[in-house]
Amino acid sequence: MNPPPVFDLWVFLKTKPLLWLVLTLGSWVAARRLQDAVGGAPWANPVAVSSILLGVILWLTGASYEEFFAGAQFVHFLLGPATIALGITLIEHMQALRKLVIPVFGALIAGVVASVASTWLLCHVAQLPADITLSMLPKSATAPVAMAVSESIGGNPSISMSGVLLTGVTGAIIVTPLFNLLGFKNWRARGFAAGLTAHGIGTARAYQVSAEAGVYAALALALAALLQGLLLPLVL
Amino acid sequence: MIEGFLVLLSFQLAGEALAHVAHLPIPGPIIGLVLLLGWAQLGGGVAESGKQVALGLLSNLGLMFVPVAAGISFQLRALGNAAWHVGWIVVVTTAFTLVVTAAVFAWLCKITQREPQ
Repeated sequence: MNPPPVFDLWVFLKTKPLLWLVLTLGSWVAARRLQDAVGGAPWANPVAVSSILLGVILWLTGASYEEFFAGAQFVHFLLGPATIALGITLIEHMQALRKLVIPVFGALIAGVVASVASTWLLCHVAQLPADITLSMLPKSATAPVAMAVSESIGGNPSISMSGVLLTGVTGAIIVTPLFNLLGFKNWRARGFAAGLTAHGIGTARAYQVSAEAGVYAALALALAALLQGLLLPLVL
Repeated sequence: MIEGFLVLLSFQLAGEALAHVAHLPIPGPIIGLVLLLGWAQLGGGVAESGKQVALGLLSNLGLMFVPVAAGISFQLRALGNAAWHVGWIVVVTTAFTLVVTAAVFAWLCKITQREPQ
């Protein structure tokens, strides 16, 4: 018996980057609409929802990550210019930022130390193997920094990547309910904490909440990347 | 739009080049961001078209993380039994870091604002 024509079509399309690009953009748009439909609830984080959706599609179709990434890479490429775009919004808030040099650098150092120290402590409490512990330490840094740091301190860059993504999505989901629960109303501090802890995914969430929170998140993201990229390999 | 993109990509390219030449352990785009801030400090401006493209990209910033995040199920498998521990440690340390960072930021804001201007 011949396979049904739709199967033939699938075999043809599966190898086309265009299919995976369309599915990536499509799942993103669907995830954004879902979040709108539930009143912008933080738990319906669009990065998490669309990634899970795509993960399920990959699992159901048996497509490889390489086939998927051949199309998704065009979106991935935009991370670079988007990082520069963060700088453009920083310039527009330079006046306000100059008055906050002490809070910014104080919170930067406190946050990075809190992240690395608490991760180290809990990994030891859980008696995780040394390579996993080392890989988890830079999990609040942006992905490329975390992977580079991980490699230079003897961790596994691929495990670091999981730690970074889980931290980003967790931070983006819990930041709003957590600070609301604590009655914390300083939006600059909230944004800065989101960017420092949950890097780009937290910054994306902060921009969703307010432009001001987004700017402070972007600042924290950039400063934390510089600090962790330059210092962690020396300290650890 | 193309002019705006050109501005963003040029700073990124400059950052990538500097990171490579100086063997910096920091990604090129972050160096490019620092170069852009330095450029602004020197009095340089960014064209309106650059701002437009920047806003367009930032309104969908989360999308840029989806290609990598979609592969996480492949990576979690590599963790095996440690995955559960990693999960709860991530939740606890993320909440802790958020609170410490925001609290220190707000506290230092209060202290520095009390000083005479």
